[in-house]
Amino acid sequence: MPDNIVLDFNQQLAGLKNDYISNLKDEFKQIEKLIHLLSVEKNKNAKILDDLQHRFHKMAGSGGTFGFDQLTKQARRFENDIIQSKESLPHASEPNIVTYLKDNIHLLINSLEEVHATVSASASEQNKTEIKLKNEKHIYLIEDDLHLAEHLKIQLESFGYHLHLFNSIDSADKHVDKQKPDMLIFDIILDSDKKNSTKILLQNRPNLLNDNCPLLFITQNDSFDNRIRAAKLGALGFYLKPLNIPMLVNRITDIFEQKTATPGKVLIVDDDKQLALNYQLVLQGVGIEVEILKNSREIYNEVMEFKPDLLLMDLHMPDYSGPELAGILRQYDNLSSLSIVYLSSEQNLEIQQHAINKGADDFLSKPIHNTQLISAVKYRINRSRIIKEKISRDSLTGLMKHANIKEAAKMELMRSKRNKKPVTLVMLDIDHFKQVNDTYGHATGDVVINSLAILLRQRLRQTDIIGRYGGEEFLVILPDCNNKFAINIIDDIRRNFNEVNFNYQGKKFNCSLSAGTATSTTFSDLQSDELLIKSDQAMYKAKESGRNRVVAAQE
Amino acid sequence: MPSLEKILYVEDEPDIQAVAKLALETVGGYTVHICASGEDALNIVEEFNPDIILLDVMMPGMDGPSTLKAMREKSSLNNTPIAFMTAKVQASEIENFKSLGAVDIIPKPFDPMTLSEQVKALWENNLPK
Repeated sequence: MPDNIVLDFNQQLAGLKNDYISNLKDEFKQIEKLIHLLSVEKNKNAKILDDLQHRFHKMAGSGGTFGFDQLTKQARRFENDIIQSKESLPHASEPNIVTYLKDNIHLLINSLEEVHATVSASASEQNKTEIKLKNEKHIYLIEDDLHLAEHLKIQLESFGYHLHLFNSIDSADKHVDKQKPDMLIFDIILDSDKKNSTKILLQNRPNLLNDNCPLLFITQNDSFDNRIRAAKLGALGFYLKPLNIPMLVNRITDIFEQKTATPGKVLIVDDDKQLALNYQLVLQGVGIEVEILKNSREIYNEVMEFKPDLLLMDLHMPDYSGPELAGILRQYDNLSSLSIVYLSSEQNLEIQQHAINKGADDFLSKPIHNTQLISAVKYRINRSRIIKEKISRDSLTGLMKHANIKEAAKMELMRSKRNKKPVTLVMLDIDHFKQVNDTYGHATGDVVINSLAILLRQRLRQTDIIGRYGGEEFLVILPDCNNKFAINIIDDIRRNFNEVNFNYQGKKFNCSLSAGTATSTTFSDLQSDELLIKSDQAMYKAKESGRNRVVAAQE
Repeated sequence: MPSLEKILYVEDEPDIQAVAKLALETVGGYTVHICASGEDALNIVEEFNPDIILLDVMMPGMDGPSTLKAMREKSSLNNTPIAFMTAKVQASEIENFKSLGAVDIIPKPFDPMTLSEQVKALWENNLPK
């Protein structure tokens, strides 16, 4: 397909997807109404069930076409349930299916929320905080030590995760149909099963294990055999007891953020236009933004404008070769973290090696299978992002550094004036932090700082900007957010932070924070530095009036 | 060698009609005619003279299988492959559909990116001998 038609196709497809979603909402209302009717007009049940079956069938057949695989799966399950209830016991089972549908219709509604979430995430960031709450992550913890399990539950729930506790693999496996897990955490030694969970999982591969669900292990017993079995199961983490909970939460948050990160941008450099378009289509199919280099002589400008995570480049091209163009890009310091990968039919290993030496990161061979291209590109985008983050972000918290956050505050205030919308600055400071450092040491202090950073990252919108302002001081910028909303969300974070139990050599302690908010519309025409001072003053007021609270700056 | 140009798709759901038309026309470059019911399809099929016919199974009024049956009675369509597009893809059902005279099944939900290729492959596999 020519370039312009590809674009057109994607646009039209997006338009159709929107139409589908709005129709879907009406369809859901209809389905809910019908299910409600089931018990009201019992003599019409058979007819209503036929109608429902038909509607589920349609939904199963269409959801996946628009990218909603969950919807298809769930609708298909309901359809089959109705069919089975009809076939098995035509009379006796009708009440069963009625109760069943009533009890489980929320599963379908959940999948609709997924639909909403994908749409709203791109359409409007404003409601993200609400969506995030609905989109709660469900973590299965398989742990027979009830005391530890309960403790972990409280800890993880204060970070907004929903924890399901099980004392055996069997009981967890039986729950999968009711609530799909987003992550699995196993204790390795489960006494009730008299076995090692890594062994059981490798032997039985219960339904619960699936490739998309991240897997972590916790154990008292750090042995090579346990670790190798965990690796065979594809585990993403292995944590020793006594658990360093903030570290565990940090990892959990990273895993979930990686799963929801935007898929990234790729610039293709290839003289074979047809092939380039084909790669573009394949990568766009999985949501990656793709552009094709128009003019080799403009490569620097095109890269600067599009800001790709990855450059996918042919080796042999008529005007300028891949290594020559890579050489040019490597002359610019600001592009040092750009990942460059050759995609070429060159078979000669020596030439491949030589090309890599000239500033590229890797070599992929043509012809390449679509799925292989996708996974190679995704993996490298991920790596390139990790490197970029390491450079521009505070190394401990992964948040913006002091200078950058001040600059961002200035930009956002200017933008809010242009848009005539409020922006709120929030200064947060951990209470009595010096005591934490003095009593428990700097390593523990770092854990505390990191925990607050995680909470902020989790609870705020993607458009909000979070920076580490000083040692234990954070600055948060909430664009398009009034003071009331800001106080609500920050106070919620304050409460959560206060509930986190920290642990130093078996000794438990808690921390609190004080925060000051200042909203642009409260004051007439302040510069960003002045608004920053207002939020700082409000934060000190919070400290003076007893700490562990949020205070808004008044005019 | 003949080439695949015209596709007739019988489907009652507007969302799916639109995305299938877009996918087959834009990605595949085919000429596509959509009918919302089996009755409509029977009225125009001979005039449109498609190279391949795709039928939804569950439709109000004439469903997919009865549309297929009526089409198989038209001698002008003797060499035109007819396939079902359906969300039901259990082996027993596929056999049942084939015994009715369908050449194959395209499972739903389909992927708009690859639908054209699927249809083309299906057509090539069923070229008149």
